[in-house]
Amino acid sequence: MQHKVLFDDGTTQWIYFGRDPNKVEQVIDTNQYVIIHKGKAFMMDPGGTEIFPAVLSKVSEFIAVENIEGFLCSHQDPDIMSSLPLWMELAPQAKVYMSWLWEGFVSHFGYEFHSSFVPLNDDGCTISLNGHPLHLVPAHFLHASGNFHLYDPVAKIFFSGDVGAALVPDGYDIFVEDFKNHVRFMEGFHRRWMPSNEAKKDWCRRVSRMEIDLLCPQHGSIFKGEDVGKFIAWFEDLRVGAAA
Amino acid sequence: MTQSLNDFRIKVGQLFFICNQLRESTGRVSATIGEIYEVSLRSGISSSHVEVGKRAFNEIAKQIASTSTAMEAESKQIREIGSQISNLSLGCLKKALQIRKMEEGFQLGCGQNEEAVRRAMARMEAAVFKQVDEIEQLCRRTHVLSCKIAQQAERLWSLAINLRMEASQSGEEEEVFFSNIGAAVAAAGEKLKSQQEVYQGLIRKCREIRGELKSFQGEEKNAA
Repeated sequence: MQHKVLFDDGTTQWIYFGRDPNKVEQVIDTNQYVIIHKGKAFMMDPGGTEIFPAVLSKVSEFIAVENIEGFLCSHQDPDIMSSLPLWMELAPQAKVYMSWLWEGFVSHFGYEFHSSFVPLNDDGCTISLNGHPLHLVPAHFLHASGNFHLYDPVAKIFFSGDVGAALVPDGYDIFVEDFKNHVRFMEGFHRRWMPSNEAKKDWCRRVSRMEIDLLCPQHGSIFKGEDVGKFIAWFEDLRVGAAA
Repeated sequence: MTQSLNDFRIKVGQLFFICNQLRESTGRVSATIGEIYEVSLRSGISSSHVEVGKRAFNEIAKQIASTSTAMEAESKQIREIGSQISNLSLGCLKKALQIRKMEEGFQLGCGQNEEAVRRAMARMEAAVFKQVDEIEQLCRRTHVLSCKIAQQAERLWSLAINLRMEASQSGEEEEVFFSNIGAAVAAAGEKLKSQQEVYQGLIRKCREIRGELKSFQGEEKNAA
């Protein structure tokens, strides 16, 4: 499994994990992100059971699992969080943030760690990772009916879940290098998976106001610099869901 | 434990398979007892309409009804236990699969988290053995219940024969009616007997696998 440090100011680190060359072909590639701040960590979309061993092994190079304070599960899909029971065995102290909609459903993974769930109301909130603010941003119907993204106002990094996702070929760059060319890897995905033009427009309006250096989706490549704005504009114009 | 992890998983899988069969079997036993209960209710109602001189019917019907009511209560318990056993075995299977994933991570190298992974694996193994012990306890309880049901089924069968004999010495109308009821109870009793044999066989198998699984725990202790 590959990794890349996306941000490091000496206090806070954002680390990307993904593009596992040993992953079986049938399992869709996913990106996992960890924020470490003053020895405590927060993980976004910890991934599926199948990739758990590789992610655990790589994460272990950076942080002891007992220092993971929380997980954000952007939504309920298996590639997002089916590894959660395994992580909770290792980090029972961690809180699991997810939309209130999924609380009862995710309990099917194992009721024993239900007390660690923090169901988020639809408006989202700001949480603190050892003093570092993290905004949990509503992104409902993009694509799940209860969906959250995360914005780090200090690092200026936006974790966008399935928004910005692309189904890229093996060996593809971790960062988007040619936006025009990249569109073909994400257009079909967004048209099919994003059900609501209204929700999309609302998200674009809110997110375009934020100061974002990196936009990090759960599949595909990371948008940096100008490409962040290009992506938001492209997404805003795209007809999605039933209207596509 | 690590060396025989694969065998351990296979055994847990077998346990899950048998426990599910056990649950299905309790459902079948319970359904047959339900049939007997229905028939016995009918015989009770009918016997109350028989003329005063032929009240032997009434007495036999009452006994059939009380026996089948007791069986019905046992069957509810056995069905509940069957479902608990199945859920526990699912828990074991889930944990065995989790242990495999932890083991894979461990083999890839978990650096500073090796100890945490070992601890989590040990916790999960302990949880599997705890659930296996709970399955064993439930199997014991269910065995007792099953023996009770078998005895009650025997009694019911004798009562059904009595009913048929009594019916053969009565008027034509009663003979046909109660013979049919007696035959239905006897047939359901026979069905129950064979289902009980299957069920007992599954309990034996479940306990065998449990014994084999416990030997893995022994291996772990010896290794430690």
